[in-house]
Amino acid sequence: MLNNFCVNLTRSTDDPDRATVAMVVANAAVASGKQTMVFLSSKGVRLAVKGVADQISEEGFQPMTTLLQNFLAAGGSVWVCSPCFKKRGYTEGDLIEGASIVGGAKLVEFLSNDGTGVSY
Amino acid sequence: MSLPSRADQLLDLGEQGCGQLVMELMLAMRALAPGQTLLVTAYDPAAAGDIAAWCRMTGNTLRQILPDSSGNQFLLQKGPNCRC
Repeated sequence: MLNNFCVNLTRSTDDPDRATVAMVVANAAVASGKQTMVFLSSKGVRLAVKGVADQISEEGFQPMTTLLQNFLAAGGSVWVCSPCFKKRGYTEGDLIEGASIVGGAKLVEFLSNDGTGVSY
Repeated sequence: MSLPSRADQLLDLGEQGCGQLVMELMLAMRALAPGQTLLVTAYDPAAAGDIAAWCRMTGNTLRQILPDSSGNQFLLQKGPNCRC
């Protein structure tokens, strides 16, 4: 069974329903013993900016801040697409705790090493 | 089928499902020693499939599925090599 699991998320406050479901699946993966990484790309990088997750709370789901906190506490990783982040004028100082800025090679390595995933 | 006379820990998940359900399972199972049992009550319609899959992925055993009056109960046993 593949061990690395990537949840690629390209939305944040522009599609809170999709962003929430992505984080719910990420929580399911990390809680199932998978080495789980959420890759934030395109508009999804905003989710890693301080204060943005606080704006998302979908009916029927835990608030985004809770989902993120639980995910990180369980050992999940949040990787942020470097060019997507820079393009929007953000810097490392804008990042939430636990998130890291990465380039494409890191993503390719993660997926090439016993990995699979889903994209939202 | 009758309820087990005892379990080492009880976990009532109510209507929780999907990621929240398995996160609660993981946290509860982490607190147990290998061989100990967890009696889970879960009413989400996908709970039976998710709990069985979670056990397969994490090295735990789903010992029994026990219908009760309002939902389902699941008796899990922590495996010696639990990955949670």
